[in-house]
Amino acid sequence: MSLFLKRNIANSFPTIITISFLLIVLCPFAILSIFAVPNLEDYAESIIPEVWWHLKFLYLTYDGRFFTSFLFAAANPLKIESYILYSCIPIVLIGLVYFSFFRFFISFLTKSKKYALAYSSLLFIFFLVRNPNIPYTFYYMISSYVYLVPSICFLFLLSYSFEMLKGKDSPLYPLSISILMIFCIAGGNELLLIPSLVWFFILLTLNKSYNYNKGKELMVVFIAIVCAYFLVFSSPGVANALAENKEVNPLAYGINALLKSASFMSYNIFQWLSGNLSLLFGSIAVFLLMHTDKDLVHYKLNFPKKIGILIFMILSLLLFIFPYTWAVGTKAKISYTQVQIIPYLFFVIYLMLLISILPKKFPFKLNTKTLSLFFTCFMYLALFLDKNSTVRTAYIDLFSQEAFLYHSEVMENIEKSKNAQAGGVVTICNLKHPARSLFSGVYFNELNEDFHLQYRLYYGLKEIKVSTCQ
Amino acid sequence: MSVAIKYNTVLILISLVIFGFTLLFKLKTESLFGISKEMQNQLNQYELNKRKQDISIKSIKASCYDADIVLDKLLVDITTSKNPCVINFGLSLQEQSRDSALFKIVEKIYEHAYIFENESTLEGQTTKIYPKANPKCEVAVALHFTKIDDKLLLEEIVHFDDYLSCECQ
Repeated sequence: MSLFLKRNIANSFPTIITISFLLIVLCPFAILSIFAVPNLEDYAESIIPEVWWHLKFLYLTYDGRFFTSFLFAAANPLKIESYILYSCIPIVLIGLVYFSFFRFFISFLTKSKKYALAYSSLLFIFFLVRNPNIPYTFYYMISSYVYLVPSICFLFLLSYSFEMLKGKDSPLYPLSISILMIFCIAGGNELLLIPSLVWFFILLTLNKSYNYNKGKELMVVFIAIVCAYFLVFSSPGVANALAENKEVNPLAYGINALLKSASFMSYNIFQWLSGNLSLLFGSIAVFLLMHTDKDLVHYKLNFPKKIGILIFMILSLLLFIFPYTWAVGTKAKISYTQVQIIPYLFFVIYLMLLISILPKKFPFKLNTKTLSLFFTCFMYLALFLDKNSTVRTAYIDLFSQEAFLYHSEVMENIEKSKNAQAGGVVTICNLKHPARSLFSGVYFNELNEDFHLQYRLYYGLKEIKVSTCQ
Repeated sequence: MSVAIKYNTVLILISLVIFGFTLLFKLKTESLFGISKEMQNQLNQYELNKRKQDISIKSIKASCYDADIVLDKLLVDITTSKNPCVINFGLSLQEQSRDSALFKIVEKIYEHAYIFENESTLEGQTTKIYPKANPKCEVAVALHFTKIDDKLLLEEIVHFDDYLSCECQ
């Protein structure tokens, strides 16, 4: 009987991973969404009227991120003053991230949907556990639209363009999605500019090496890349920013930025790995899980190719952060954690892909299914033992009521602002419960005085006084 | 028509749609050949209207390199003006505190502001604000900013008397 039970559990192992992940890890983040409230910068994007004027205004005066500007204009619940819809954004984003992981694994790693869901769950845990900035990833609309949404689009681009390459004679559906994603990425975040180009060259190489015969489709993809980035770089806002740096020596400036990227990435990788027990046990769980997956895609790679891929992965992480160090120059700071969200996502994806190309045979006989279960249990345990784990912090914020109190305090300030007479003065109370999982820091303090005006304009206030209320 | 030709036609059509979208976007945003003067004015007016609601003595003083020097220079210009309207405005300032006088002057600039343009200078930036009431009047009040630690700070305001005279006509 016990043997029967053991075998049953082991056989349904991918399902167990998926369900336990949804219950143990995703639940607190989904519940935290209820307590998500607008940050000051969100108001800056909510006082510009209309969708088209909003998009046009940002494109002409600020930057070339036409897709994120479109999201600010058209998918912004604050434009209709809906705080309930605002708190739905994180749930939608979490769903989209999970789906993009699923598509990625279906395209690259396995043909089994059950296993793809399990891999997605494990990847999501890796993505969450040492995420550089959880509030900026999920609970801060402007930031999520700038960092997370383009990353999701990039994953879709990888999946659909790879399917297009491998696909039948006329892969119009994956081609159309790939083109759409190219525009979303280009108009989303410049951090993904170089990775998009690198991916295009990888597609070209694969097409030539494996005779996929998709030259015409890749030509269309190339046209899309050129047009999308033409829109970005011909934006008057970008032209003004580039003109400011014209007196600088471009080579020295570029090398300096690259060195800074390397130093940032080395520091970050050390931080992401050090003491990360859940990542260690999770990696073993992934490795063991792959041994039970009969539908796993096997890439025939010799040792030099494996080393080449490893070097490429490490170097490409620099490319994710380089546009930031290049654009900001001497002001680039390692404490600016939001720009590390995208490199971190690809760091954990690379980790999983590296595990998949490890040697396939064990040196000794093991019951991999039972071991997988064993290491997965350890991974969940480690999630709660690691004091830097965002999952643990999410639970603390929920059970200590910190999230609830944070929400109440911000909503109280909002109610006061709404109920103040037009052109009146309102006293904003400092937050006493800045829940770590939710609070971005972009609230009423000295650093954010520029956003006070936007908040005042949104609620029609004449003056704001900030004080420590009793 | 064979399937291959049909497929090629679809690919060409997709490429044309991509070009069409790019061109349409540039046309609709009026940025195909740079921003037109009218569009720039519209953008500036929007920014100006937003800024009009942000006048406070605290923000004015914070944006000045030295608020006392800025005010002293303005008071000299106002008191030496020959235009009675400007002189009257100057007299009304005499009953005010220095902070309040500076606030009233900036408020006056914004009250009559219609469009503005920014020019980069060696020291930092000059913002010229043109009044709205008299279309023939092309006298702009000029705000000279100096760049200190990557921050633009107001060093002086010139031609305020001419700007106000223009409005008083």
